Formats: sequence, C-alpha cells, structure tokens
Amino acid sequence: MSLALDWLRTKRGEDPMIYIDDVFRYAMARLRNREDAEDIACEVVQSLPNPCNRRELRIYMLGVARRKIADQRRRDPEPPNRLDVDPSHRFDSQSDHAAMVESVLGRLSEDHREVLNLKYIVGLSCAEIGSLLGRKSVAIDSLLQRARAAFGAEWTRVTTEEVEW
Amino acid sequence: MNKRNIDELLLTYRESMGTTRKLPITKPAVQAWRRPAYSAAFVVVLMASSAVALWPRNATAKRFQDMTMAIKNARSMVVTGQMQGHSHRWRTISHTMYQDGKVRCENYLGTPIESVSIWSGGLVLTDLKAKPHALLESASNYEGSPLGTDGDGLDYARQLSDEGDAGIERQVTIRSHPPVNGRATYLMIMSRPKSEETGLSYHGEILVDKMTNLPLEIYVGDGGFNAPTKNQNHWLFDFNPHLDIRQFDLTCAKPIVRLENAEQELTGKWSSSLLDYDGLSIRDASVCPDGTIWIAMSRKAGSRGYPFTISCSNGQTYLRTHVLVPSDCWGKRHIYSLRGDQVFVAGFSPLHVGGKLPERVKVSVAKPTVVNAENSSTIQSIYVNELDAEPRTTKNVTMGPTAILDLRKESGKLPSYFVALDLDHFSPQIPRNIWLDRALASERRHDYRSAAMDREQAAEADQSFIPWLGEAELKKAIKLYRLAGLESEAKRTETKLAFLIQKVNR
Repeated sequence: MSLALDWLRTKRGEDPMIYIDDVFRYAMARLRNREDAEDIACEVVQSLPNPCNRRELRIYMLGVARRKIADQRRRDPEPPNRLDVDPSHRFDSQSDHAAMVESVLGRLSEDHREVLNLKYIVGLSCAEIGSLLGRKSVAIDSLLQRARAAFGAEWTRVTTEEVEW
Repeated sequence: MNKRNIDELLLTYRESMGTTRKLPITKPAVQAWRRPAYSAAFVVVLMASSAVALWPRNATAKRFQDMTMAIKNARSMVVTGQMQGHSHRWRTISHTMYQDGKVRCENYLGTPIESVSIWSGGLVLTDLKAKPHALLESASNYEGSPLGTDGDGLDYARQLSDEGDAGIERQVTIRSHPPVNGRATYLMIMSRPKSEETGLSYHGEILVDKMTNLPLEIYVGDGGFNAPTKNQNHWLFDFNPHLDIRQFDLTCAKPIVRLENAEQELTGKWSSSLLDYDGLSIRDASVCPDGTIWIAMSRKAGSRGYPFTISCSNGQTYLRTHVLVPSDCWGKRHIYSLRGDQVFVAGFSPLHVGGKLPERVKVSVAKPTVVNAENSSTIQSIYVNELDAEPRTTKNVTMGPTAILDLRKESGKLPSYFVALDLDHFSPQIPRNIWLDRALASERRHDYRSAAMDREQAAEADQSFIPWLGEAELKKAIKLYRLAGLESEAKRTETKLAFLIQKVNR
C-alpha cells in the first residue's frame, strides 16, 4: 500500500545510487569496517528498483541499512578488527584527528553516537533524523544537544582540548 | 588549552571515510516500448567489441613503437606518481623530473624514506628528510639510474608504459577515448587474466595523446579507470614542460657530506686496530645514549673470526642485535672496504634499558669450528642463521682471545661513521629491531612482562618506520601480558591496538 501511494505521489523516481555513499558512511561509522560497510551499502542499493519511486528515498535506505546492521550485530556481536594496509599511508594530523574522533564516538552511548552519526556523517536534518528514528524533531534537537555535550566532555577528557559548537 | 569545533572534527572524520569502492550493478526495469532501442544498441556494442577484437596485432605494436619514439624525442618530462589506498583517494607519492640528462626524484611515501635525490653530471645528491645532512656521491656507485636500466631519464616513461612486456603474454586493445583538456586521445588497454599458477592478474591502461603519441596517464592495477581497487598505481605525464634548471642543482639547505671524502676519513681513522684474531681486526668500539655498544671490524678474505660475546662492568646482559655491512640492503655497485678488507659492524644492546653507560667493554672473539661451504661464504649467514641475537651454544665455535676496550661515547642515536658506511637509509628500522630482539630474549627467559613491554616499545618505534607494523607487535604484547597474568595491561594495550588499527585503516 505504501509503495502504491509513493508511486502516485512521485512523478519521477530516483536512482538509489545517488545515496550509496551516505549509506556507506553511515554503515562505516556504525561498523568501523570498510568492507562490511561497502557490502551493506551495496545490498541496500540492490534491494531497490532503479528508478525507485519511494518518498524520502535516502531516509528509507538508511532505515534499511540500520536493520541490516542490527541483523549483522546479532549474528556477529564483536566483529574482529581487520587490518587492511595502505602502504602509502602517512600519519598526518588529519588522520590522527579522524582516528581520535572515531575512538571518542565509540565511548558514547548508542543514542548519542547514532544521532551524531546521522547529523554529521550523513548530514540529515533533525526532522529527517526524527523520521528515521521514529521520534519528534524537538526530541532529536534535545538529544543532539546532549550528544554534543557528551562528545565534547569525552574529547576533552582524552585530548585535554576543549570543544565548541 | 586548544579549542576544537565539533563540526570541524566530525567533518574531518566524515572526509576520512572516503567513498565506497564497491559499486553494485542494478537492473533497471525495462519498459516494453524501449526493448527495440536496447536491441539496436546491443548490436552496435557487439560490432564495436568485434572491431576491438579484430584489431590487427601489428597495429598495436606500431602504436607502442610510435609512443616509444615520441618519448625518446621529448626534451623534458615530469611524472607524478600516485597510489590509491583505502580512503579511495589518490595520494601523490612521487614527482620525477627529467631535463638534459638530469633527474630529480622526490619521494613522499613515508617520513623515514621521504627524500629528494638529484642525478646530475655523474653525481647523486640524496637528501633523506629524516637525516640532518645530505649525501653526495658518484652516480657510478649505483646499478643504473633511478629512471631505467640504461640511465636514460625518458626510458623511465617508456618502461612504465610498457609494463608487463618481459615475456608476459597480454592482450592489448586500443579504444577511442573522449578528448582530455582539448586534446584528442585514445586508450591502450593491456590485460592478462588471472593466472592459475601465480594467482596474479594484470591490467594496464595508457591514455595517449593522438597528435603527439605521448602518454598522458598510465594506470596499472587489477581494475581499470573506473574500477578502483587497492594499491592501484597511476602516473601522470607532462612532456616538454619548461623546467627551472635550478631544481637540478646539487645544492641543499642541509650540510652536504661527500661520501668519498667520508670514506677516506674513516679509512684514516681506522688505520690501527684494537684487537686482532685470525684475520679479524676490531677498529672501533663505541656506545650510544640508549646503551647499545657498536663494534666496528674489518676482516681479511678467508678469515672467519667474529666477536662472540661482550660483557661490561655494569652487569647487563647484551644481545647482538645487528650485524651490518656497508650499504646494507641497498644493492649498490660500490661497497666500502677498508683497504680491500670486508667491513662490518656488530651492535650489542642491553637486555634491559637504563642505568649508567659503560666505560669499557670486554669482547670475546671466536670463529666457527665446523663451517660448511654454504654458511662460510658470508658473515651474515653465520650470524643470522646460526647465532641469532644470542649465542646459545659454544659447541661449534673456537673461542679466541678476550680484550678489554675503552668505549668511545657517541652523542647521536647511532655511530657517526654510519654516514661513511652508507647506512643512512637503513637506520630508521634499527630501533624497532633492537626492541624486538629484547622482546624475544625476555620471552626465552619466561619474563613475559618485560617481553610485552618490549613489544610495545617496538610498536612505538614503528611509528618512525612503517607504522602499520606495530599491529603485530601490539597483538603479541597483549598475549604476553595475559601470559604474565596482567589483565589490566592487556586491556590497555587492546585500546592502543584499536586506535592504531583505526589510524591505519583510514
């Protein structure tokens, strides 16, 4: 029924490939493993017709990815860290920061980490996050504030640097 | 206290993820009225594919010949080397410039080996970023030049474009390509399917300027232009640019050490010996601030003597962590010798760091009693294969005399004469090797806590060499901490390992 309504509401469908990188980054932030994240992103795209007439296709795809990640977590609660080496890698400060951010995000609660990922890694608005998580936009705004504060506190604890927003 | 913006931090994190390399193939729903149009397109594609397959072999050979000739006729060249890694971004790893028989190679691969080398007028100036000096030497010290076996700079481009030519069968096809920067181009594709024997495949693509026959870009990997895979190589060519000739000057902001002069000076310094035994002469004994004692020796042809053990009044146990020869692992034509005698340096590191540096050292020399032809040929085989860092038996050696030598104190991390022995490029890996030998020795003594700590130190030292090597050391350290019953230390090291993996995986 929902698909039929979508068909009526949307004149032209969208190519799911447009959002593959958003899905990939979200999965990468959740799983911390490039190969698994790429697999999830591919599975999500392949599960959809092209063009796809769904409303809010990006949100829908992220929802599918969330379910797939949850399934994977259930199957493999602690996936092993896989080291896949890039010989040309240089340890510059940007790379250090990225690794540190990942580490700090890993110390936050599931709710805080999720909302920060969706806001900053995927780039969703509060309303979109609310739609995805089944919460009100105001509640997401408040959760985001708390998540930022938690991130800042953890960052300061680890690096002795203050965080502002 | 520094202030960071949360947006900036999380954006850095987002950027570091790159984009997905794996692209799914989706099946579009085909509407009935479109089928005839697709069928027509299929026929066109089929005809085009047949044309590629039926392209005469001599035509592709001629294209190669034309390109080689065009390269040979170029006056100057800049090649930018790029490598694709995990982040799906191309990283520039080198710049190679050529003009009038002069070559400048800039290598950005990693801090320890980040370097600039300039080949000009029969001389080579090497500036390793990690070193406080640059080294000037004769080009004849090297086997060939950095750009090709025949020393011709432009031969480098030819070799890159002709990769896989050495007796390896490959399929070469030529396809049209859209213009690049207003230049008409075509694409040469060289591929070989995965070999069942070696498991290796090959795929190279050369984008060629139709007017000049000069290559513009070369990709080599197991994918293609639009199929990014790990560790693809990519070279961008610019032929006949106007290059500032001053780039090829043999000058450097750092002090320049002339290798020949350094060698002569060292020969003068090592004219007398501190101990002689069966053709072996100890020339120098020094101690570095980390406590490592370095014994420099020369040995006459046919001699099999070598320093067996050392001991100091500080009661420390010493491990023979290194046996180095001049220009070690460098593959040079010229290797320093002391008036024809082979030179080598043995490094002895204390098992545990700290404490007062020793003033004197007691050195015992020995020679193997039973030596077969295989391991008598080189000193390395005797040390590495038979004795490792610690001699565990005296069964197969004849002990020689013992001498007490005064130790010369070195201020640097390594002996100053390493420059004259052309060991600059080898030195970044020495600290990690020392920690690993310590770890192994502690493990043999069932001192798992020390062994774990030494592994951790080796991982730290890897940060100044090849950072991802530290992963194996930290994993081993975790196991060792657990063996020692130190669960909290194991957990701490696990956090450290996770951080390293995150860093490396970016």
